[in-house]
Amino acid sequence: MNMMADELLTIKGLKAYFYTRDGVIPAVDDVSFHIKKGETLGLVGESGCGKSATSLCILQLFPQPPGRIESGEILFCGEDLLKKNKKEINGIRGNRISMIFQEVMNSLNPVLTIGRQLTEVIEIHQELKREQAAKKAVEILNIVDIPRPKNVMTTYPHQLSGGMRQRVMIAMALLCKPELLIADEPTTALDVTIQAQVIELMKGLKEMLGTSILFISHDLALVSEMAERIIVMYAGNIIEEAETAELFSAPMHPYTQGLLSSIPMLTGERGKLKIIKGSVPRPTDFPEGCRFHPRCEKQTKRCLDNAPPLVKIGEKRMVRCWLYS
Amino acid sequence: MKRRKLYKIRCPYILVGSVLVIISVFIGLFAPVLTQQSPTKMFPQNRLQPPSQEHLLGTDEFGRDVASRIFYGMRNSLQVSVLVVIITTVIGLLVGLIAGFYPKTDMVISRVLDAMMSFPEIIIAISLAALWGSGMINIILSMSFAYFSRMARVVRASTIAVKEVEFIDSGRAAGASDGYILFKYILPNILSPIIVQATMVFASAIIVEATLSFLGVGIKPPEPSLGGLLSDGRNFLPVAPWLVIAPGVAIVITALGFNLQGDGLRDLLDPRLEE
Repeated sequence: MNMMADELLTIKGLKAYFYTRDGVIPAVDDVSFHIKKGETLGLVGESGCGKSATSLCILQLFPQPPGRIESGEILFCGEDLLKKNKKEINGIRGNRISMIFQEVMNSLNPVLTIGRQLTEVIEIHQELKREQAAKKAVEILNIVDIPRPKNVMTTYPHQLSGGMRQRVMIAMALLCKPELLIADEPTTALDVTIQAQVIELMKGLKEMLGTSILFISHDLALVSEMAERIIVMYAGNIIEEAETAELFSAPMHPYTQGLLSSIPMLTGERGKLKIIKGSVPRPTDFPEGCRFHPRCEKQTKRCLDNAPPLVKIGEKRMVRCWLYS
Repeated sequence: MKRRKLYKIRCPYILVGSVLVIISVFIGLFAPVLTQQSPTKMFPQNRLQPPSQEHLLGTDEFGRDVASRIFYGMRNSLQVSVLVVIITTVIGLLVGLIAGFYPKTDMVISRVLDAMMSFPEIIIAISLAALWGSGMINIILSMSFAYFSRMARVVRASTIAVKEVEFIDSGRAAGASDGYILFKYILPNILSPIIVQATMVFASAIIVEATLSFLGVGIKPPEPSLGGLLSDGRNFLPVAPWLVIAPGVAIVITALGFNLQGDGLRDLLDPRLEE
């Protein structure tokens, strides 16, 4: 199939559950999507909707136990990552698929210098001498706009600011020129000006290296800056998938509509900010039928009993709501 | 600046501890230089002499020089303790790292450690030493067996704490293997509790070694050991009190030194006490 050829990563029917004392938590429940080469895909949703869990499954960092990947396929360049053994996965992590995390403050090993950490990643994946690795590390620090990279190489993480640390993390993730970069809320822990800088940086790097990005965030505005296509998740399900412009101009799922209308506007009439009433259901007892129905303004009788399927609307849109099927 | 201040506050413990430790280590290391007299050669005609210029700390019931016996005894005690610390640290480290890192093995390892720790260390050490017989190697092994569970516990707890910090995940995401994570990411981050625990083990190893030798299951006579000297001298307490006082003081200095150092290090290396 021609369509498959430019799909870098394809996830099919992924189910990952947590087994806790209070019951089974379906963190990721039948999630399927794909990322094309060179594309940035946004994954949005509230905390606990399964967006991070999905991304952790890709690199098999999903904590098992208490979790377990129940079923599904994660095809990366046509190969199922879930079928790979530990050694093969280690060869892919940081090399062909990299990940950057939300917690910038704790994401670097506090007892090693920045230089050491960067060169180690190179040494794990490539057979380079230490001096060559160091040279490469300085180069990459230069690319992520770190001033005086040679000095930074000898510093420890606690000597750097949050923004600098996230730059180092990005540098580390890009060292081996990965095909896919998973960014799990990379800017959440940073303040707004630094956030903007990091986003600019990531956009520039994407252009330069042609890396595909899976950009995870709860910040719709941010995702719209980065992503060409957006997937909205709610309670472990994908509820809507659309190109960024379409999603913003014509959201289909009531949840997406609610999210977009609860963004305060700078222009136009001022009124009370719209909210989605209620809160995310407890993951141990998701409601019967559509998982969003208790909070939905457009719920019908059908929503109470039957879970809606994810249906295709047009060429590139998908939505999980009875209103459209 | 902050460092400096910190150092000042905790100065006394570490300082006093270090001085005592240095004194005892110096004596142990340079025993052959410090005294010309043999610790084992007997001179029955000189028995039970009080301290004099010739015999600084007097002589025992066989006419052996007490000072040189103490010096060599110190040497033996330190030797035993150093080896015990090395063995406990290595074994405890491996067991603790594995238990902390792999939750499945933890179920078994922790139960075994719990069971071992429910016995006082000294009881384990004494019974094993009694079982295997006296002699330096046997008491080193029995003491290591008694103490490694403590070390393993500390390492396990610290490993579990560090394992949850995000940089472990980012290390994994960068492609690091388990062994790499254990020794490059976790081990350097839990060094300070290990160092503190090692010092503590050292301090109590000195005491336990003395106890074992005192009870006659430790270092074999005529080789001198601090506990052994105490035990021998006890029979002559009314006539020759120096036979007990001198080794007693030596034990106190060594054990106190290492204990103070351990406490001081714990305070110094514990980030929670930094304010």
